[in-house]
Amino acid sequence: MKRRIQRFFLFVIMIFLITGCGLESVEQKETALGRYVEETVELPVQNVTCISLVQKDSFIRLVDFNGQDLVSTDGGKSFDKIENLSDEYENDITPVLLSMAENADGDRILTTFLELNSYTHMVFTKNEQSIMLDKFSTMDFLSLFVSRDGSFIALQDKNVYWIDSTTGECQFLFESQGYPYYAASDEKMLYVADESGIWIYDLESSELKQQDTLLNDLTIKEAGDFLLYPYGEEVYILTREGLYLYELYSESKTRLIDGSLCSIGDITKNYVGMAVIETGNNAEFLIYYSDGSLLRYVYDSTLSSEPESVLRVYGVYEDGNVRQLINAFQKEHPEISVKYEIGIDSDNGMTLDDALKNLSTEIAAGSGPDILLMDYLPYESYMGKGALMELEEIRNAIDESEYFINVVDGVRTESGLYTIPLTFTIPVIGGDASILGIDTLSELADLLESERKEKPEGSLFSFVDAKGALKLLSQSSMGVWVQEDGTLDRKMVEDFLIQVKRIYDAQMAGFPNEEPQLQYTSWNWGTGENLFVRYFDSYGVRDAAEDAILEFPGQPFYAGYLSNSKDDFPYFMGQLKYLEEDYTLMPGQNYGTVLVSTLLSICNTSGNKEEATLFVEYAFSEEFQSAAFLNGIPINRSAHSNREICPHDTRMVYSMLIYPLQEGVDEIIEIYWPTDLDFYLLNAKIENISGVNYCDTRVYEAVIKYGEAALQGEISIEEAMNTIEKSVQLYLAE
Amino acid sequence: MKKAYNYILRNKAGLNRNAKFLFLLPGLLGITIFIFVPFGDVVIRSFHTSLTGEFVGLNNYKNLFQNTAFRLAVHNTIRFIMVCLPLLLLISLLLAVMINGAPKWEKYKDMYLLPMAIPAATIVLVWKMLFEKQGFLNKTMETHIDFMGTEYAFWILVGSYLWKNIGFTLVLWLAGLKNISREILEAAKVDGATGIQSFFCVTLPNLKGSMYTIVVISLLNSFKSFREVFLVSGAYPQEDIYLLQHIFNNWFTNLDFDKMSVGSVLSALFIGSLCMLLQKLWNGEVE
Repeated sequence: MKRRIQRFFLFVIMIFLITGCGLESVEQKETALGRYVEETVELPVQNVTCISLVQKDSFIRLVDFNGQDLVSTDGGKSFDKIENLSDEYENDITPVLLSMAENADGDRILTTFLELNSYTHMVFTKNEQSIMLDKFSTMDFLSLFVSRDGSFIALQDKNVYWIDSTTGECQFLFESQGYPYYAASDEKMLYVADESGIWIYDLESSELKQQDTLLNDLTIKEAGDFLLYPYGEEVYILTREGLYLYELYSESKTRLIDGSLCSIGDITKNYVGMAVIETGNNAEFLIYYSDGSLLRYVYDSTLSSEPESVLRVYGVYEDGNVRQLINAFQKEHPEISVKYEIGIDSDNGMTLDDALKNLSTEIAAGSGPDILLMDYLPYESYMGKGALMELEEIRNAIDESEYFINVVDGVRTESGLYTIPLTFTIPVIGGDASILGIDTLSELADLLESERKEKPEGSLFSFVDAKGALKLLSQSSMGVWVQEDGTLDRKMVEDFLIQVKRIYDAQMAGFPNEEPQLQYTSWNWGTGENLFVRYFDSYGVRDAAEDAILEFPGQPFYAGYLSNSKDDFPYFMGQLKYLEEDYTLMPGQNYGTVLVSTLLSICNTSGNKEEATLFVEYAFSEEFQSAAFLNGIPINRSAHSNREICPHDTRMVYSMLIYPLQEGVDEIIEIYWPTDLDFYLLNAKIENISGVNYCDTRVYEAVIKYGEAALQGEISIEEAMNTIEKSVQLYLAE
Repeated sequence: MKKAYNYILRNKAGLNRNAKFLFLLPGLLGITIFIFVPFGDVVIRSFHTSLTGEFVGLNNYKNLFQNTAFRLAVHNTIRFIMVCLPLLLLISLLLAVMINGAPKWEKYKDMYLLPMAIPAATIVLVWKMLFEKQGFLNKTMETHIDFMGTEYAFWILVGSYLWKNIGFTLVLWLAGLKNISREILEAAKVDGATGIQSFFCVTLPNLKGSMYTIVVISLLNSFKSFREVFLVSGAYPQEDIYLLQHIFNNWFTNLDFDKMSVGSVLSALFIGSLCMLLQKLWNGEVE
């Protein structure tokens, strides 16, 4: 009997071990209440960006460079506009004002440039008194900050100074190890950041304190993208991850606000200033951002501390568009928390294969993400395996006139619509009238060959090497390299290589030997890298045109993708008008197509399909696409049209490009806001788009790799084709 | 204390009977949890679609046999085993017999295992230094051959497998040789047997027990060569070194779990059958 009981228990333990489960806790975890929510503070002036936010108790001032400050006496609930510049101040400042700071009382300190090695540093008090700071007269630029007690902190070279705002009295505090770039202080403690860490200076005892490991780590990790707000022995720390309260020299910091749930985590908005309003239980925070928005963070004790559901978004690489989308969505839906998971980043050192394997494991285990960013994922395979949810319902629900439906439908396959692009770009070519009407690569090759006969020396087109040529011209061709049955279209690839070789040979026949400093080497998207930069590794048409003006004057043709009508388009149009030339769609085997980016799909195994659908719908809404600074042309037609509205009353100068074309003489190109006709012609091109140019990554990479060898003459095109076919046939056969 | 001792003595027979199960239990549990149960799941998955889980009967099996990439991988894997295994067994046995007769070499036994201790990443670095277009071999021979991109790749893989496994196999052979009683060998010598005769008629039959273990271990080790190939040539290497593990790896990446399940079931059946067949052969049950 005893033995039977023992066996029974043994059996039960085995079963539990095998099934991997214990008794699930029936106890429901009690949901904690209370969370900060973000509110927009209405300002009396629109389209003005202030240079700093300063605070003295409940008095808050948004400092305007031109003296039109906004002040609040009710702890930042409402603001009024004031004019606080004296006539003397306006007379004294030269046009070359280098640096300026103003405290909450209205005292100002400024640094102006007089002539080489001669600067003036002055304090203008609120009582209209001006004090020259002779101590600094021979010193150059001062970085100026305001202490919460109203005094100024000046950083010059490695030295840190304290300046009285009413008397101009100046005191040297200490010399830092590196070059300081940021300072924050209250009446007791001063924090100065340089590249080595944060220096902590006790203003009461006038001595440097021991450095804090956590704060030092912060400066290194955040690389200047943070704010500090001293608070006695504690300090509020604002980073992209959130707002923290930290007690000096302790081991951990307390997170008060999750940055990913609000604008704090939005990488497109730089922090300008921060104020803390004491309210008794939970302090309120005001954060002013570089886009001119002032946001208030108020504690709501009725909300659950964590959002009710969590939506996981997966992308192989960081995508600036998605980052903005998540921030905007979180603000719109605070009840849903969105986690952005990135397969490959600078920290994890993963390869694409590793990242895909990890994702496959999660999907196979039923714990895959809810939203997939398909830009680097094997789309056909995922779709074929039923990993993606059909998006036909979302597609049918949208108003076709509201979207570039030709682009949306361009990603549809025979089995349905499983992904929708957030943005797209158009590959275009610029040059004289001879480019108009050319739509095939062979015609382009003819044109370049005849151009070379007339112009034996110099650059003809926007590439400097074989790989560049292949990547540039693949933008309008690669979509036809794989046939509908999934096999490689040898004839098309071979024809592509033959024509690109002709173009490459024509370019290189008279190409200058010295290495040029091309735009694409320093091109930075600002809002995060995306498909175009990583996948095509080539540059936009705006940069291509710039190289044709600056680096290779007289280069007749330039090509690239037109990515963003808000920024690229005005510049490109300005360059075209300067060159007195025109542009058209890039010739290619898949002429008349666009490149799509930020392809959103919903994972079929998602347990949050409803929230995921909401997320995708929001991504395509005019509300989001109009407000965001997206890489690429938004798929939402209205959002695109909104970008056509000139920000000024008249179509005045939008910007200027200064090119040092001759020795000592700069060529200034005034860029005007594009005309209605310019926009009309651009829109006509978009309306005529016949589909998207998409190619499997492995096929694309094989063509570029072996095509490069063929263009350089290391192997024949026949050999390159055999190798390409061999290298992709296994992949396609699998 | 005495009472307890008497109790143990009284129940000794019963303890002996059950003790073996108790000792086997941890191992069995581990194998059941980590091998049999997952394998059962793989077998079930092989009859279903990968993510939607629809039952498709033998369709996955049918598709797999029609898959040219799979057929190529099977062909390459079998070719690799057929070339490597006999070479490894023969060379290592020959070396073991030679070392067994020269005791001064035996003290370096540990060093023979050194290749197994070298990480795959290091081997890959050496491969690249040797066999790349700009590598040492091309520089020496003044050629410009992409060894890993041509049919040479297969023989480089064979060489690497032999280099890595000969030491370990040799040690196993040595252990087997040590177990052969000196009296038998001396008796054969007294009976007038030559060295070769005594090797084939005395040594080899006495190594039969070790041989089975060595063959099975070498067979399983041959599947581990994938790591080096993958690190050198990625997921799609030169077609002669495209092995079964490549296709499994790629299927996993592309969510082809159904194909992968079928492939795993077939591989397990093949290896299992092979091991059983070897065991029967060794036991003399199959003539």
